[in-house]
Formats: sequence, C-alpha cells, structure tokens
Amino acid sequence: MEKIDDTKKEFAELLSKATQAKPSFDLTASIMNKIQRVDIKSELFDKYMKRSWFFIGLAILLALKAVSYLDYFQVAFGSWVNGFLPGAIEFFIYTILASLAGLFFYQLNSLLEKRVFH
Amino acid sequence: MTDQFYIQKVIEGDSESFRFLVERYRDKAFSVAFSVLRNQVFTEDVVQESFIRAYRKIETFRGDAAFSTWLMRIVVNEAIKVLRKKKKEIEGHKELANVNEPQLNNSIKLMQKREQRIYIDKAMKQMPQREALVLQLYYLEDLSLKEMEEVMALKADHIKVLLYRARKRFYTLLEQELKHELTAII
Repeated sequence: MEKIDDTKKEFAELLSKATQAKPSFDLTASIMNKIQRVDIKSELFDKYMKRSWFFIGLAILLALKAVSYLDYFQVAFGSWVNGFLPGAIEFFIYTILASLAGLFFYQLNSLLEKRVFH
Repeated sequence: MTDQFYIQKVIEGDSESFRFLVERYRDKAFSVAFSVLRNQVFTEDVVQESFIRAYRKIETFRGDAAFSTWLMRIVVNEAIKVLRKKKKEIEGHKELANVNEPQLNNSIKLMQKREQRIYIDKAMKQMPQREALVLQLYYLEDLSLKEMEEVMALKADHIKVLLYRARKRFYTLLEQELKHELTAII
C-alpha cells in the first residue's frame, strides 16, 4: 500500500477520536425490505412482458373501441345478434374488456399475496 | 465467505444473500457518507439508496476492483448528489496556517477523551466535504491511493494534493478551536 508519510497511523488515531455517527434504526432490515419491493416490481414486469400478447390484445381492443372501429364489428354482426337479443353486441364487447381487465388485476393480486404471505 | 460468493448468489436470484454484503459494508458506507453529508437523516437515505443501486447494478460488477471499492464509489456519488441538491457544500478558505503538528498532537493527547472529541468534532464540521472525505477514506478506512482513485474518480496526484491540503486545514482549524477556547477562558 502506498503511504504519503510515516505519521499516517498517528493522524489516523487523532481523527478516530471524532464522534462516529451511527444510524438511528436497523438499516439492514430497511434496505432488505426495499430490495424485496424492487424484486416484486421486476417480477411483475418480467411476468407481464412475457405475456405481451395479453397487453397487445387489450391495447388493440381498447384503441378500436375508442375510435369506434368496433362499430364495424357491431354493424357486421349486430343486426344478426341484435335481431334476437337487442344490445347483445355492446354487452359482449364490454364484458370482454372488463374480463380482461379483471384477469389482469386478479393475477396482480395473486402475485402480491404470494410475495407478502410466503 | 468472500464477497464474490455472495455476489454470485445474488446474480443467480438469491436476493437474501445480499444481506451478507449489507451487513459487511453498512457501517463503512455510513461513515463515508456521513463524512460528506454531516447529517444523520441524509446519510441514512444515501446509504439505503446506495445499497439498492448496488443491488440493481450487481450484474455489472466486473470484479476487477474490490466490491467494497465499487460500493464506496456508489456511496460517494450518491452523497455528492444529495449535497449539491441540498446546497450544503462548504467551501474551504484559501489560507492554511503553518501549524506545529507534533506540538498540537501532544496538546490534544494531554486532554480528556471527551474534550478531545469536542475539538476534533468542531474542526471536522468546518472541513470542506471533499477534504473530509479524503481524510475519511485514507486515514480511517485505510484505502490505498489506487482504491481512492476508483472511489473518487480522481487521479492519484490530485488526491495527494487534496490529502495534503485536508491535513493542513484540519490542523489549522483544530488550532483555531483551541485558541478560541483559550481566549474564552481568559
């Protein structure tokens, strides 16, 4: 080890007499807690990126609905379905969207429960 | 177990192994951060943030330097970031007195431990953070110049100059504190 001068030890002894600050709580526990949360976020991200088809599908459906393109679907099949069941197409579309959203939150909840209780 | 053992386990997915590294370097990280920040709360935040950053980036640790050096680099960078954000950087006065260091050392040694701590704390509080940091790293954490180059991202010559100035300034401040106390008594 390279030394600047021979009085390093003496000066180090002098400095070591200063008050050594200590943390006011269990830093290790706090750090490990935060790391667990980092892990959960990473896991979620990995899990759902792998199922990107799910998001792509949901995004397309929502976008189509927003720009009223699903209206074409409604027109194509609407008259046939609405013929024997009025409003069925609208009901069908919204049910699918709500189910996809529900599935997403259900999976999210299961994952969080697994991490918290196990 | 070596640091490399735990690092490998963390990379393989065993995040609990990171706890061993936290336990091993927590106090060192705290001392180094505190030497820069001089504030308990900021220091606690910086230490936590540093370890989390180290955890996130652990796969980028190449092993060509010691893990402790790599970690201290993160701690120092985080501490300096906070220091600048809080605008609590202390500028050093240009004048450094020629102090009789051995005589001053002897004077301090004659004091009670409690008194020693008071004067040394007062002197350290007035040190510019960069200089306090080099003193901490070189004299208390016993880092080599090479390690300090990596931690502080400075060349060895620059560090030597900083160390020289830091030591001189410390003694100057210490002498001022002692003189000030003597004047107050008289």
